[in-house]
Amino acid sequence: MAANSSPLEQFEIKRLVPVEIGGIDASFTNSALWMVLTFLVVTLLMTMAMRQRALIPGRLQSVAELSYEFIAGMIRENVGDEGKKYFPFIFTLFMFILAANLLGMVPYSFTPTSHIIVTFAMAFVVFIGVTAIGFARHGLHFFGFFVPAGVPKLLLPLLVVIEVISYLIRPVSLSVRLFANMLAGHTMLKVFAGFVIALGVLGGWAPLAFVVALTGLEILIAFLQAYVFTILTCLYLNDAIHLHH
Amino acid sequence: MGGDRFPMKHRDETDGDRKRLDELDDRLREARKGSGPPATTSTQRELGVAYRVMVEMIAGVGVGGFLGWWLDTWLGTAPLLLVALILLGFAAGAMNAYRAIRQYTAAANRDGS
Repeated sequence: MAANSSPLEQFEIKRLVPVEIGGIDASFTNSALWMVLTFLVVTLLMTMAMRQRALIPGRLQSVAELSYEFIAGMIRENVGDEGKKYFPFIFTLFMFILAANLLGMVPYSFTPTSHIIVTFAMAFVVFIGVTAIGFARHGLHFFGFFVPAGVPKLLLPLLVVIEVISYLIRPVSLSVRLFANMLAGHTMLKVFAGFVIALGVLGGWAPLAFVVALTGLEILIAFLQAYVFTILTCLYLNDAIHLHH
Repeated sequence: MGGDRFPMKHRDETDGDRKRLDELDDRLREARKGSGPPATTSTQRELGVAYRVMVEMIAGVGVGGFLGWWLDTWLGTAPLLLVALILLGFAAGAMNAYRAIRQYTAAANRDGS
């Protein structure tokens, strides 16, 4: 029961291969390792699953086709036909977050999505990309997005400022949601697992049962948060393409 | 006697099969209607929306506060813009929360009908 039994110890960043480029610490960390693993798992799953190209899919191929259809349907419904060309990005985003969340459920693993900087980087890419798409498609008309219709002239400046701030909130709320869910879930698992040890053979069964239930819930949350992140990306993309709330 | 019973039973079974097929049809139609996350009940979805609303409102104040603080140090107007932008950030967060709820209501109505 030393320092390494702290529930937050699992989030510690460790330098595996120290690298320094021009005074910037660019070490290969455990976080980077698990992101590489996530990438490899998704790539392997998708290529292995589709290698047979069977007309009647096997189990693995069904998984790949189901995820494809799920994201394709999500884009069709929330963005429309113009969203089709952004499918590769959104699919990658979904699979990466989902795999990172699920790999984080493996004992002794590390969850990159429990770090705000990782989720914020993803949300920021989405934010910049969506804004760029908006300007590319509509030019200066994109600013009209911040001007609500049918508002008295006196209130307009105030509302434009509020609209701009609410637009700037997007990457923050998008990243905080995923990060906070992962952080809270994994901390809670560790805390209750600590109770099992602390209460011993006699009293440890109740928290153990709770940990089992919590593990199930965490797996659900892993799916749900990947879904939420992706669908919000779709909604933001829709806003940028069609210019309405 | 045995020959008499057999067709009866057979017909019963086809009726039962038809009923089961119809039920399967209904269930398939039901399953195809919503295209949200497949394994979530409405309570979980409501929890998701409640959580989203909470994050939007906190992020609103946070982003407003940060923008205000940053503009203040840049323009030297502390604490004027900090106060103003925290208030505006709160309003923006509330607006985002309102939009989240409206989207949820629209989706719920679409699924329900």
